[in-house]
Amino acid sequence: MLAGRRRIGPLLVAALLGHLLLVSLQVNTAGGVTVFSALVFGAFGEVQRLVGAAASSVGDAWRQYVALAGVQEENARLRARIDEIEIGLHEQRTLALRAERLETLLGMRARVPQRTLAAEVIAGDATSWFRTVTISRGRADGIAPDMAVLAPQGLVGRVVGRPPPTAHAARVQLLVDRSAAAAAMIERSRAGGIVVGDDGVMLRMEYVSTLADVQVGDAVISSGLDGIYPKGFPIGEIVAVERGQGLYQVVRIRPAVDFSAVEEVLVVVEPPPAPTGPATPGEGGSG
Amino acid sequence: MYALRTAVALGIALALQALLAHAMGNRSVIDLVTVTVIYFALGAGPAAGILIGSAAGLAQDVLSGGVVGVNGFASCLVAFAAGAIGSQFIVANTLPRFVVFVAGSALQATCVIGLYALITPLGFGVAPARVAAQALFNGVVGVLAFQVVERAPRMIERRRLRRAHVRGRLSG
Repeated sequence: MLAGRRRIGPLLVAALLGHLLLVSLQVNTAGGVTVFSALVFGAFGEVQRLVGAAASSVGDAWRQYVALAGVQEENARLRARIDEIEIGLHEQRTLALRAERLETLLGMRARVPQRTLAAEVIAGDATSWFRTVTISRGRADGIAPDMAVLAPQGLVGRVVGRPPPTAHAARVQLLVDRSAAAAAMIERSRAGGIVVGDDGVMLRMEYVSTLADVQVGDAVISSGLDGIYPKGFPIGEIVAVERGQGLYQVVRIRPAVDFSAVEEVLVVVEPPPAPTGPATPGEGGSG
Repeated sequence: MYALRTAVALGIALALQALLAHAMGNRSVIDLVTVTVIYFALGAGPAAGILIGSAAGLAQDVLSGGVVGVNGFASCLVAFAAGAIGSQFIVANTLPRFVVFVAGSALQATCVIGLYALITPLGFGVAPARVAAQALFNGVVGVLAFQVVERAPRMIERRRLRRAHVRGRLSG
């Protein structure tokens, strides 16, 4: 009985659907097609829509995931290209900065009365005991020991004889080296002294009389009395003045030149003239 | 045998309905086919009722020139319901039978009118009073049909016995 009931349900549904199908085959919709056609078309349209959506999803999945293999290669290629462009950009920027520095150096060259030669700093000191750098000019360019080396900001140092300059390189002792020294004076009061390297970073001005007018903030320039450095070039700025022993006071100076960032320098290949009196940079022509 | 009788009865009902409709025009308020469907479905059960109703309805549709399937759908549904009722309940008295015929007829008419209302813009245009009247008349006809079918053999037997008795007295 129960099995019979279970069979009746589908039979009834099938019979009713069959009648409805018959009806729909004969009845036209407002559009002129039969309801059956409209239903079939609608159902088929839904199937098409579902199939289309599925195909679209598969296509999207293909494009977004499977095809990523190609994208990855392209990504790597583009990344490499970006790296190349960034390197090129960096080079261009470096060249621009170098050109700017050289322009400044050229301007300074015009201020130096003696003949000068531009050089590049190509190496630092191999030890931590001395403060020296190597420049790209040597004997072949006329470089000799005790020639002054300048930067746009001021005095850098001098060419040393040990080791002697090679054909295309020379060693320069920086002003901050412990054994470096330069004749200097305070720009405002014209009080003279000797500037020496203090601790490899700062400078110290010695032999400054206790009677001299020295103030923190005063600029210290080269006096030219040492016969090496041309007169009137900045050395640094006074940061401390202390009373020393005896007749002298101790003056501490912050260098005008950032020695760790010097890249291009001018080597004064012509010895400065013997000091005859006060002079300022820019007097006379350059070599 | 039951199927054959059903088929014959349905054929006769269709023919009579056609004659009745022709004779009474649009005023006919009896659906003999529906009465026949309900009658046989009550005795045959729901499964057979589905087949009986479908066949009768489709025949009605084909002969009437309407949309084939509308009466089939309605009669199928009515015959299934009648068959289910006949198999679940004892429908032996006059009143239950009458109710089943009336309800089945009303359901059949409602289905037909409803389907036509769905598939044609103007609907079927049949007043509910006519539906009710047809249901009532169908109920009466159905009950009468049961009475006739159930009592006719006994009446015929009694009549045969009476004739035999009269013939015996005349000869004796």
